Amino acid sequence: MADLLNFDCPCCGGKLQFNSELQNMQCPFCDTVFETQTLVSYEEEVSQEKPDEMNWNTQAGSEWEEGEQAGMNSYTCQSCGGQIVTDSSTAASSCPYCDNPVIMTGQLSGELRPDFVIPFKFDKEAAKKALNDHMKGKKFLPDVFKDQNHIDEIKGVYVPIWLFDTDVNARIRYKAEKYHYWEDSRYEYKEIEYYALIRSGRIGFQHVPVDGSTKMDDTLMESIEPYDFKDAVSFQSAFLSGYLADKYDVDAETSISRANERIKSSTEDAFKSTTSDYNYVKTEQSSIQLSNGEAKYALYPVWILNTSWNDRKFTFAMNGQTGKFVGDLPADKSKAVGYFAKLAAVAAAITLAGTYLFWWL
Amino acid sequence: MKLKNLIICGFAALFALAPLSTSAHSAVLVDNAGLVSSSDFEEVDDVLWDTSVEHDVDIWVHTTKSLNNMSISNYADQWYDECAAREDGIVLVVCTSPRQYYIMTSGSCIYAFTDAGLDYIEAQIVPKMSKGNYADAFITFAELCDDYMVQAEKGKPYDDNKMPKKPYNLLLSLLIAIGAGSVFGGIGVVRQFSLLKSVHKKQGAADYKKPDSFQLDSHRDIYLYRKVERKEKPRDDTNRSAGGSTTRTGSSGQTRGGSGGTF
Repeated sequence: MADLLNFDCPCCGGKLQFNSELQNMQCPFCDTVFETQTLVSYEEEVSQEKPDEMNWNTQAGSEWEEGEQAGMNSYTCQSCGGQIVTDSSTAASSCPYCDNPVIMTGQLSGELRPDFVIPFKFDKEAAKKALNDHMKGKKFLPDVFKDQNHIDEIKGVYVPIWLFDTDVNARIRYKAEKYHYWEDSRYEYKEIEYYALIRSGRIGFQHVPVDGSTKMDDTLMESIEPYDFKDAVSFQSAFLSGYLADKYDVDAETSISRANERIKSSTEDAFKSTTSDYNYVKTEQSSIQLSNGEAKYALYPVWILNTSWNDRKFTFAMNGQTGKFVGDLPADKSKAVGYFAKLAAVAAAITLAGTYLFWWL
Repeated sequence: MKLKNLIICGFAALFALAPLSTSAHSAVLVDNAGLVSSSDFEEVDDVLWDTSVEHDVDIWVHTTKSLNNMSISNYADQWYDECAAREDGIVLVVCTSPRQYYIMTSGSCIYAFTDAGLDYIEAQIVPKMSKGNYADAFITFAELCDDYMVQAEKGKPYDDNKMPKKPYNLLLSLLIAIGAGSVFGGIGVVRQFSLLKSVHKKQGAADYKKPDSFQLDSHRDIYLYRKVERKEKPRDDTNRSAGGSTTRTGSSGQTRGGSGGTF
């Protein structure tokens, strides 16, 4: 019984006390009553919880084959410091990320050779068309913004990506609520039953991408996902012909935290799908153990266009494999005000007519 | 009270015998409490008289400074029994001490003025009486009596399912329209702004799950505790049955309808 007195209240966290009248444990702070056996079961489950173990083998990439680097030129952006790689037949004049001039700094040396590449499926014309489509139907888009866009300067870039594969063993505890409603002649009642749900099992993830370039905005890169790895092929420098390639400047070890974050979130969501009998479910504790975790190095195709308007930089990106196009657009405030006034006037007139019709009928 | 009533009854007799004309009639506004100014008196009295004549019912407004230790409904019954020329009629009694009013209906007016109908009349005149606008309140009373009698003569007296149409409130409607317009305009603008934003962080890695890799090895649901929340239902404050008029037996044994309150 002494052990029981050390239970924490699952409702508010207060120390529970034994109520001799109720012959059950009761919280002196929130008055919630618990059956003793329930608390024993709950404590058993909580005591089995372990911290996350998310270990990876980050030996990604490989050594360049002999003579392979000789066919590739390296350029450095004088403004953002980005390093661009092209094959010897492709010349680069400006940085795809900041649009400033780049200078050739010699042949590629040192860096890891990518394991995989997904070749471009959409060409420059498709990217230009997608950009035009992206701007259609946007009522607040400033007219001058369309005109000032240097649409021809859209560039095809291979962005360095770390890919993470892993098997996950998970044990997750959810806090859940089930509602029941009834009423009598005077009151409406809502009964809330509180549960602790324990789920454990396995799930696997493959090719979870994390952006390996600081110049490429991470959120922009995630916005053009997903990429389908079925089109990936072993890296060959021939795929770079006609395109620019960025060199990673964020290593696999640094990218692990973002991969873990995404894998943990989706694991919790997957197990949550088994709790549909409840009205409300919230993750309270999750323990994630990774096995066979390994990273790979790949290049993913992206069409990029940088432009600026009113001293603000706007970057658009298109998934070179699927054609998905994203990019935040600026708003013309005067257009927004005019649109609001027009819409409000029409709605007000209809409402006024409606109130009169309602009164008249 | 007796003497006053005898005098008033004399007027009532004249009223009953009076020709159907709006000129030179006896008073149907008996303002013993002096609530209506002399300049307004004739207008109020004429409106009441015209309505009475048009519908062949007694329509009175009687004000008094005291109820002579009677309930206001008994006072109204007694006054009507002693003074009214017809069985069919309605009287609005207004007392200044205590500040009470009562609308008493008799005969066919019980049918014409249902409980719901009387509630509506009270809602129109009580605010005016509370502000001291007695002449305005009594004219409103007469106009509503006219409207109610017309409706009753069609065989469809105002009741729960059909009440008089309130005047169109342009100011309120404009405010509603401006509010609705702002909401719709706001929603439209927010929607258009949201179309400009297409860059969003990914929350998970659901697109990269291995096919058929999800396997639930064990699951356990532990019931912890329960709580019950209770909310009182809104009360139905109308004790009436569906529509119609509630009646009672008046002090003289006659069937009466009516409703009253304070102002």
